[in-house]
Amino acid sequence: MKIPIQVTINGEERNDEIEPRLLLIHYIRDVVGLKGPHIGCETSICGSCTIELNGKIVKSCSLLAIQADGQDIVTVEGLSNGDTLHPVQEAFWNEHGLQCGFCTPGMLMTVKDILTRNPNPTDQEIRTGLEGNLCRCTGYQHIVNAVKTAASKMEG
Amino acid sequence: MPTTIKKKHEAFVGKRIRRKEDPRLITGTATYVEDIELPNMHYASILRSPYPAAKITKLDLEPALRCSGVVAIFTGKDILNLGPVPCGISLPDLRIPHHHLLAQERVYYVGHPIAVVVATDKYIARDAVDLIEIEFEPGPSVSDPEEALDESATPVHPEYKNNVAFTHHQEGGDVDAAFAEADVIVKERIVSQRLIPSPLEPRGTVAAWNPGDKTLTVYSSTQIPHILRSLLSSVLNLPEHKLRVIAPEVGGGFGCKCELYPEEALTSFIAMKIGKPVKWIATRREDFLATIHGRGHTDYFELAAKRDGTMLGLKVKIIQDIGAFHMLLTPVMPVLSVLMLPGLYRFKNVQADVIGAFTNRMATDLYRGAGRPEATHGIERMVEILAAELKMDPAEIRMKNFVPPDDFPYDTPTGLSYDSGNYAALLEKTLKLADYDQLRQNQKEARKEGRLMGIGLCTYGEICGFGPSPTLPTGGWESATVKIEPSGHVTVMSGISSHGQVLHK
Repeated sequence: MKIPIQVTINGEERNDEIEPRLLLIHYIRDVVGLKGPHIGCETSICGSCTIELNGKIVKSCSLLAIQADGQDIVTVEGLSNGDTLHPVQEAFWNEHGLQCGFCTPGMLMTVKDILTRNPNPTDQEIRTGLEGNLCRCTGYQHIVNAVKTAASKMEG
Repeated sequence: MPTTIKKKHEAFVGKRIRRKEDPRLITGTATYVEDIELPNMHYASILRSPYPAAKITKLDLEPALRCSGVVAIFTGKDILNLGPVPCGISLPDLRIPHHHLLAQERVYYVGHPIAVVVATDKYIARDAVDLIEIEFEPGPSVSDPEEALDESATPVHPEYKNNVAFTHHQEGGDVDAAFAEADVIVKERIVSQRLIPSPLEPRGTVAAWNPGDKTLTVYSSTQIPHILRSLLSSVLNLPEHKLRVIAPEVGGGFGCKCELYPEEALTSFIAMKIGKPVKWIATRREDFLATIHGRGHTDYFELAAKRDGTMLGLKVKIIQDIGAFHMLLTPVMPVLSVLMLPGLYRFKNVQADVIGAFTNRMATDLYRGAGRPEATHGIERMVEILAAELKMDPAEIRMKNFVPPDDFPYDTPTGLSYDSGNYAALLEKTLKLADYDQLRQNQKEARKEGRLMGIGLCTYGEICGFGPSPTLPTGGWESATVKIEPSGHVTVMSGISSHGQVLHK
């Protein structure tokens, strides 16, 4: 049995028929075809699947797609404006805030959220804000640097 | 007529360079293996053992096969014509148990693959795994390598009388004389514990068979696409020119993706069998259970020295937790450790005994340094313990024992030649930069106040760049193809595969 779902994803309205048990991450990746959000753990620990749902970040591996019915989704693909990168993306590039890049799509969404709530965070506030996103490559220091760079760019 | 164009070279050293691969990684447009979509993709899901050691007493696929969308299920009897999971190491007396792609009548570790379900949808494949009816008769198992070597331990492999996978002895100099001459001998059991490598991207493979020209394309989250192609060719009995292996974007490796894993061969075999592309992506739980683990060293160190801190000799017993089966390079890890045991120190007497122990666990293999950090961990801990015993400063005792700059090239008692170095100058500089004397002062004051403050020192020289060398089975030569295009542009193809290191593309 399939049920209808209607969402706006990165500004585009969609109507699909899905299985009630379909996870939101699988809907985004397999039905919509946006491969930016990744599946690293399927248990909401690693944060690679982080997206924005009605302005709040969520782990899309731990929600059913149908829970997003009628709502507004932004994924990493929706961060840049055409060829113009979001300041957070630009900062990750400039500050070597990534290596293998697998955690990055989720990381970027969380950082954008941190800076929306707190435009000028301290190192400790940044690290606390990143608790739900694991990175295995960088050791986090360059990510923290990237957040600070993005913060100063967005303020100025 | 030849023309020379002089171009001013841009200096890169010390300069901030942005990575070429980042634009796709930060915009969500990179293609990792799970992102690959092919027409008519089928999905594999694997039934794994919940027991460390058991006989399979019942395996009924019928309920799973009745599930709509299930295309086929493969078990141990279907893969008997395929080569085993390869171990690329040969050592005298090395026991290499036959490592089938899927369990036969017994399982040897939690996570041991038993059956592969293939379906048109990944949810259906997972459902069908749960519908397979399987029963086990659990048997005794052993998970601790030291317990495994006890005479009373049940052999992991019934065909062997004990759990010794291999032994390896190496010595240089005269260790007995060194220990006889010593004023002090310090001993310690040092464990570099078994761990799970955990790249953020779990393993995964997509295999596609072209029945027309009989070629196979395999996309895998691997660190070694070229070696994987050669190994897959032999496991599948498919000539290399019919086989293409592609490492797409790889979400981290840390050594654990330097293998031919059963799943890489199974997805390939199944794609050929059913004539459809097959995708298998490990869950995090599967990645914990059935991706190689790192380290697994239990080492007994004895270091002999003079009262003045001069190190004389080292005796080491290394117990390597192998797991149930060897993977590609498993047994060579502790052998590499032995080579590095002398560290940067000039004592000439070393004796090492390695025992590989089979246990009912996933295999250990390459992980971040692969046997080398284990050796450094050991010798550097022993130097610290010796310094404490002799009440000497740990920096001073190192300075005293370093190979001096005039002794290079220096031959170690484990058979290596160090070409050059000035370890004392390096440590001096480090101590100065860290303001070591001040730190020691701070430490004293902290202790007076009842606070514990530790200062750690470690020195490290690593053997690396193993190829090209006649000791490697394939020579280890790196190669590149440089092509000058009709336009005058140059295309360079190198053999290096990136999984996050800023290498290419």
